[in-house]
Amino acid sequence: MTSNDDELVARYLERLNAAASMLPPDSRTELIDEITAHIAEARAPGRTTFGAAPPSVREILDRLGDPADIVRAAAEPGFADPTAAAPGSGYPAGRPGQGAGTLEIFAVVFLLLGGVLLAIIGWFIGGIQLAGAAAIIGWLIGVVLLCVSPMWRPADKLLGVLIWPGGLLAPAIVLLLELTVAGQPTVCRSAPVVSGVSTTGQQSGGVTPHLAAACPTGGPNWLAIAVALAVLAVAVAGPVFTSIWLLSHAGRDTAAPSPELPTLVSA
Amino acid sequence: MRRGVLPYCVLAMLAEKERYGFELVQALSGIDGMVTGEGTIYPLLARLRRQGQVETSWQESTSGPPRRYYRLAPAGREALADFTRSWRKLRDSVDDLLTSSGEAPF
Repeated sequence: MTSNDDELVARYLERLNAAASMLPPDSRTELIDEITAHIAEARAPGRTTFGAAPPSVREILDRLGDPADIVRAAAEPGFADPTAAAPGSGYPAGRPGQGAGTLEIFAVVFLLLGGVLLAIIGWFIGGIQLAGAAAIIGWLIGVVLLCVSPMWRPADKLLGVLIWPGGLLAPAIVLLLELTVAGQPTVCRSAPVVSGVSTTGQQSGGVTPHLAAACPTGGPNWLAIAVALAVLAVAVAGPVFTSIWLLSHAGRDTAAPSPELPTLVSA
Repeated sequence: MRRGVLPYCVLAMLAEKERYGFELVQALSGIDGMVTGEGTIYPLLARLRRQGQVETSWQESTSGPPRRYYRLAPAGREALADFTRSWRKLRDSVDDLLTSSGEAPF
């Protein structure tokens, strides 16, 4: 028994304790006691039930499963599925205490806004370099909170990290770039590779005198503007969608109870 | 399907003799595909106890702290008997169906 093993066990039990905070106190205590006893039994010398080699602590904990799943099984009025989960039907959690807690809300906030807010703070303190570093840190805080939380499945966490890195910082940068190039030749002159756009650039008067004035050499390039808006919309929609998804899926179950056989364990 | 029978498998394992938690979990995880997270067995055991299907007692162990032993309560014995009847009928019907449709029964 090494101290690294002890630390693995301690961290697992911490996660279990955190996930179990939604349970009534006596259920929580009992569950934690039983899991602790299980781990101790599994680590006891002479335990060879897994096969020839004694099990490693990692194996023992992996076989126990995700603390979130264990707690979900304890919280279900019926009996939650300990076998392979049915493809995520995800019917609503709806139970008091389930769903996004403080940790989860902070995770989503940092994922979405951490990059932007810390970039702004960093900009004022130390210019663009600090802004860049601060932005990354802001988003990474969100990632860490996301991964630490026991309330999401691994697939949900992957979504939170992939779409998109930086949260709303990505569209903010896109917007900044678009605003600085508005009025520049790329927006105003017709894009040479796109056929069908007027090369004379003479737009019908009165539609957008402001844009026409900003584009003295020709009219505004509507295609470029449309593309820019579309890119911006997608860049914003991504993290917003992810945030809504994460908040609604915190603690959500993955399977509905089976009604087939006489239900011994049901509400 | 496995999810629905799991409580009854636990009861069946207790029908012969009483067992302690870790022992039950090990026996169940030996059945292929029955359990993915062993930890979820413990809430099931707690629920069976609350519903009066099983009873528990603490017994000293030579190799460590006292262990909680589970045994069938009368209500659990009855539930297991009911389940066994239903299961056998279902199993026979499904086997017949599979045979008549050309599949070999197993």
